[in-house]
Amino acid sequence: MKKNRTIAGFMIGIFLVSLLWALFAGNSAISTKEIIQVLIGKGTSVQQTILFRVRIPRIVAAAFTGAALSVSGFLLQNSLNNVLASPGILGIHNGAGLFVLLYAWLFPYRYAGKGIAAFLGALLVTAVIYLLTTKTGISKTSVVLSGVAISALCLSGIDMIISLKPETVADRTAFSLGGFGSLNSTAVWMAVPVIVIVLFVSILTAPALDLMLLGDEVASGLGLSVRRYRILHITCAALLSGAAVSMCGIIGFVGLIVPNVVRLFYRGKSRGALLFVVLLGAEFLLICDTLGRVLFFPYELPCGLFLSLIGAPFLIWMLIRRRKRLGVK
Amino acid sequence: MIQVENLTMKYTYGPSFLVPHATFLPGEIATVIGRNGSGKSTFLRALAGQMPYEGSIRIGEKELKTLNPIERARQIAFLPQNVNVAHLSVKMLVEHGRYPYHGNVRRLNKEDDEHVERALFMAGLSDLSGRELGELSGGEQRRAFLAMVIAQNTPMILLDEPTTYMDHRYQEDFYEVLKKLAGEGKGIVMVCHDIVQSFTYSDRIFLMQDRCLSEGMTPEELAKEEACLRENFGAVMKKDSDPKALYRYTMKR
Amino acid sequence: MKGLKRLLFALLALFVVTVTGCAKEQKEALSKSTTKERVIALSKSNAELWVLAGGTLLATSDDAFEIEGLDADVKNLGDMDHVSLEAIAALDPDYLIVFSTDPAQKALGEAAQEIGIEVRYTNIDGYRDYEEVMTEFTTYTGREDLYELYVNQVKEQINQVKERVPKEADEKTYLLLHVSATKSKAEKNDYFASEIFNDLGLSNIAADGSVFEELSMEAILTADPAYIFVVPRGDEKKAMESFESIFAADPAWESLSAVKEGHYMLLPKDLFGLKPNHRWGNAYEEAYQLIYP
Repeated sequence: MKKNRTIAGFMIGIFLVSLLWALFAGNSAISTKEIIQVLIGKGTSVQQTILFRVRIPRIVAAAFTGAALSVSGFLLQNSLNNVLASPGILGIHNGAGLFVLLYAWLFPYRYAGKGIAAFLGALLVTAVIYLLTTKTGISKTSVVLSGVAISALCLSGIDMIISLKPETVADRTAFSLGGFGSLNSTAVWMAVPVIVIVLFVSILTAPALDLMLLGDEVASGLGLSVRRYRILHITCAALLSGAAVSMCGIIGFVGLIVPNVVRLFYRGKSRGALLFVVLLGAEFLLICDTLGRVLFFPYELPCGLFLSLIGAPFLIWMLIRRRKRLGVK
Repeated sequence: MIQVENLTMKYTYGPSFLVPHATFLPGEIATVIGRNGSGKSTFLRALAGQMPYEGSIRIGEKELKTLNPIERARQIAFLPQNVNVAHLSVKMLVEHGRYPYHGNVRRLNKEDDEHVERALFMAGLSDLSGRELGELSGGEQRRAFLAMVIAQNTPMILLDEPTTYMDHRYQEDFYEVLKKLAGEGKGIVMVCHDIVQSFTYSDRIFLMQDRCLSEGMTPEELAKEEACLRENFGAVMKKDSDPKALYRYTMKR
Repeated sequence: MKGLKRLLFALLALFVVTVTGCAKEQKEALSKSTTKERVIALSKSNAELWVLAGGTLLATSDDAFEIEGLDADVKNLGDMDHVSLEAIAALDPDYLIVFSTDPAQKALGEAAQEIGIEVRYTNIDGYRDYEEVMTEFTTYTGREDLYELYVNQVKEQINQVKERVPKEADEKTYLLLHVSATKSKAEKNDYFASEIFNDLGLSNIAADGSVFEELSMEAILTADPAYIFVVPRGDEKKAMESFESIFAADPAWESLSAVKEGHYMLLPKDLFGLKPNHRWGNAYEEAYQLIYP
């Protein structure tokens, strides 16, 4: 408990630092001093535009995307009782991608509906995964493998649409290379409230996740409507992925890595774990995006680059460390 | 008290099972025995409200089907044979037993804490409460889950093969806990494949044979049904009068 | 723990407030002006069009700095696909020119539109697109003289070349290959240089792509084009080396009539690899010389 509190304090600290860094990082477009001036109401209109309409929406999008994708992964992992589950691996991202492309094909130039299309795609793939898991009772490995298969299926659908309608290529590429460099603010303002609501629902119903980890029969014996909660959480996961994907395209890896990193250091109930997942996911993407933004200004580096660069070795290091610790015992 | 009348249970693909009449009383350890695949576990699952059924299962005055999951979990606790050993401490596991009372929103209050402490104490886990579940032995894990079920504080407790994978010592301790619970007026219904244990520790035994559950009998009564026992288990049960015997009954050819 | 959770929720609430605050900010109306004083063009081609139309640039991407006659104070925004929106916003432009076919630029354009910048998406697939864009740009800059020079005169030059094409001759076929160090690709009719050859009385065997997408030797042998044009991409020498070693080394290559008759030629990159813009007439002239020497 005490350890958890220390870690929580540490993580909130990192979160605040990354938030402040993202907000105040100066560059040749706007210096830190100018940002402070804008915040106290003394900036020029150009500086106001940069801060309020470029930078802050971007920070908001990065933080919420990080939180949404991480929690999405966490919910999937717990409710399918499978630590390998994540929106990327189960094909939910590609499902969302396929639907965005279908939408772009059927209703070109109507951007507003893309978010809903992404969500529908995510939900459809999730529903298929859910049915596969519950109706056929296939093993955890098979769930992951069928996710890979569904992912490939969606990908071939994507390729088919591109072959038939080459003009949709632009949508496809912009979509699969996720990032926050050029945000569509409509998408952001549509996605953020969805994410906030779903996060609250997830945190509220987190105890159900704990029970589900004990097995369906135990959970049911404790008075949990297992089916109802599983559907609720999987829908939440799809909503979160769909919302994130509609904002900034596909950003893989976060949904898999963040919950697993949290599991490595946190032992406790899901509600606490969820708060850690939200924090770590948000600060992880904030840091990656800010790095991509400031390192080579005015060049932008895609945040997915840092995601893998920082995330992958970190996860491997954590796994080895844990292995060693157990080995000594 | 659980009263069962004309119960039929059926899997979508497979045979159906029948229970014409059975009553499980408070303060009593009742054991369901039978050969593998005879439908013991199915019956227990039906009692736990986790199997569709026809006929009637009454919990006190109410029909099981009409209870919502939370109401059901306040009447019946169920420990299935297969559980997942999740990453959590023993204490947290036992606290889950209070879920039917606090649900998703409310925090644990003093009353919950008392039930948790008592359950840990009864299961002999007070010293291990801070330990990680995964670090415990199989028998200790089993007792931790029993403690969770005890914390649920229900009039009836259903246990499916609770002593599997347990050393003899642990088994004995485990049954002592069950006796204490029965002494407090809890009704216990257990499925057990070990006939000797069943005869030794049960107040009444129900035999599942030919997909049908017999009326409950005391071990003495059932021991007299030699033909029936021979048919089902290839052996008969004899009372062991040696005071040093571990079990009150032994199996004989 | 309780205190921490409160702090977290407070942070979340703060976020929501910021979000709604920004949403309000969003609703300002955009105004379109007919004069473009502060212009940013991404990519060499877009920058060149604006400069040709007599406009001055505030900033452009680094590939455009080869353009002659670019003012010394034009700012460099870096790689054309990784430009920072903040850097653009800081220059307070009133007009941004990007490619509509480049996903990264298209997304950036959409984001720029949302912060009140007018954006022009260009997609030059042939001379007609060039003419349309130049007509628009010279209107903005008010340079009728440049319209005359870079649109009318170019059009005139093209028409002269086209008139010289023998009418009665059989329609001959060609294959236009775009080769780089890693990949060779047959260009379809939507490529701007295909339009030039089509205008000069040839027909593209890969008109709609399909079979030639993966550059199947069988398909090429069957169609047996009269001409094979090769446009190198990137490093010219390396591109040609790789093409010669992989593709032209195929023994079947020698049996193609275009190769046998010496109608297999390398096209200059500046006219047929990049959009020739004001030299569109020269590209027609050059192509004519190759076909009808």
